[in-house]
Amino acid sequence: MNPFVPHQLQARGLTLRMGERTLVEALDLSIQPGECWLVLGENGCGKSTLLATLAGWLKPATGSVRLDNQALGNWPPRQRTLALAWLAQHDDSPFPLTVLEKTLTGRHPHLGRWDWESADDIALAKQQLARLDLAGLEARDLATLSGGERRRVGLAAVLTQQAPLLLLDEPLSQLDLRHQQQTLAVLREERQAGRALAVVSHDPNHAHDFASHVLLLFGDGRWLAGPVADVLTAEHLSALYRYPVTALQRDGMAWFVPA
Amino acid sequence: MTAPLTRARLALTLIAIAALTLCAVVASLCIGSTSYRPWQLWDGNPDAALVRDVVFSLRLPRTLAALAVGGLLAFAGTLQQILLRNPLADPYVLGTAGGASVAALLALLLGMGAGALALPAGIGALLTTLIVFALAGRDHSTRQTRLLLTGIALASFCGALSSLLLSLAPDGLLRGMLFWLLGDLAGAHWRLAAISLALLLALVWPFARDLNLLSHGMQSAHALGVDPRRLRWLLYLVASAATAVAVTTAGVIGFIGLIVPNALRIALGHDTRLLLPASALTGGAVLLIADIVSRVILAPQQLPVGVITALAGVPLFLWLLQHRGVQR
Repeated sequence: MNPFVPHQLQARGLTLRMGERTLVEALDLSIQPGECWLVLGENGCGKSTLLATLAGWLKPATGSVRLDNQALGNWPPRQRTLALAWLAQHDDSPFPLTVLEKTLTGRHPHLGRWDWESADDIALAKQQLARLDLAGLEARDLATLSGGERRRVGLAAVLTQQAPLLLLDEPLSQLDLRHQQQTLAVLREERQAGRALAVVSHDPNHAHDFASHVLLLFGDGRWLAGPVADVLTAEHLSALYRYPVTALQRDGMAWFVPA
Repeated sequence: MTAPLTRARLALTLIAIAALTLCAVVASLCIGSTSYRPWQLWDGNPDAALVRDVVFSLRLPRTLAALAVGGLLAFAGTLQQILLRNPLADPYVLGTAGGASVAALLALLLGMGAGALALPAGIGALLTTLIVFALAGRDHSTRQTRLLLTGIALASFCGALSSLLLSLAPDGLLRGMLFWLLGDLAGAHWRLAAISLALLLALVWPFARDLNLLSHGMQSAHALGVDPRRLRWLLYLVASAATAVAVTTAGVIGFIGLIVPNALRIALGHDTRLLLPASALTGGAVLLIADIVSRVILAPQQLPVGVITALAGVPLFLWLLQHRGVQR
């Protein structure tokens, strides 16, 4: 891993609206180096909207997103992307694109206008692909891969960017059980290296051994944020999903299942 | 393509395409109502001076015009495909060329000289691109059917407007106006087209890696530090300008902007750093070959080159449409 400057990302009084609906109201959040935030909530509750806003793609209705105490919009795009990487929910290309080409796009912020991807960049991209069990697929066209494989390629591109802050919108969706665990292990390594992560997921159990904090979005403006132990309870999750959830204890950890 | 693009592969590929283009140029100069062998131009034969005259004052300008116009169309097609994130976009299919031609016809009808038509044609091209985008630009579905249908509807509308203007035109203007509908390289002026192509290519190429990212998606482009909104304006303007110059030079010639970039994507991959210059070169070569065919196929009669490109282009367009339908 390259050494990097730690950054912190803050949301201050962030209100997100979609049409008439208020998704999130006055959210205060601070993502520090080494923290991993798991973002949970129903479909359409504003998880992706929040990540897109934290990435500077969408403008909040009110409030601000600050990167190192400076408004995100004031950062020059290139400096911003050296600090902050964002895996959007959909990133399908209508054109033919190989796995390696897609992964190398992560190097764009590191290259000057006239630079070309170097052998080091290619080695780094291949290394990230190998970590996500994609070695050997470098030359394949993305369109020929399965949904889960494409998702992992997207994540490999984001890791190749080597930004200290990672905003990941459902990186584990469409992945099978083994690849989910493998990918979680990779993200855990990133966190241990000092990176900060915000990860959208639909499985509260992904928090185990992985998340330090949890953000629950109720979709009607209410939100709940804090350390895993405080926020991740059967009671809160039942309210969040509007469906009874119970905690099963195993090896001293709570596993959440529909009741 | 298996390996990522390198500078060396870029240069080698362009040299190879340039060599093939040169072959087409030699063929274009030698083939015609009288055909020559290349060496006849400089042998001691008393006819050599006459031959040189025919080749350099008649065939060379037409050849250069074909190269420049074909290059502009393929270049504009590549840019519009990236702009709309749809491989089926093309100045002809989306009505950009039609808009340019209607505006030029209108200007002719209002008494503007044939030399000053690039400006109204440019405005027409820009307007049609904007209309297509305003009506269908928010179509975020993967297939973007609405976008394509809007473009095709607009293209038909421009065709109808052109016919209307033609039927209103006095007989004296009719012959000159008909040229705009068919697409013809006879008597085309190559200088403006060639200079425009070189300038526009030089303007856009430095942004080629940004364009790669934009073509993968607006959000991922933003996530990697590209300002998609600003870049898209550049694409609008440049694609419209390229189309306008192509149309004012040679009338409406269809499908070069569709065939060439898509064929090159299959052969060379989608890296815009290679695709842009390769499209410009290959587009020129393809239009030149179409022009040779149009001169030879019913010789001594010459067909408008637009007829040839449409005859070859429509089946290919339909094939692409089918192919994509299966893949997605």
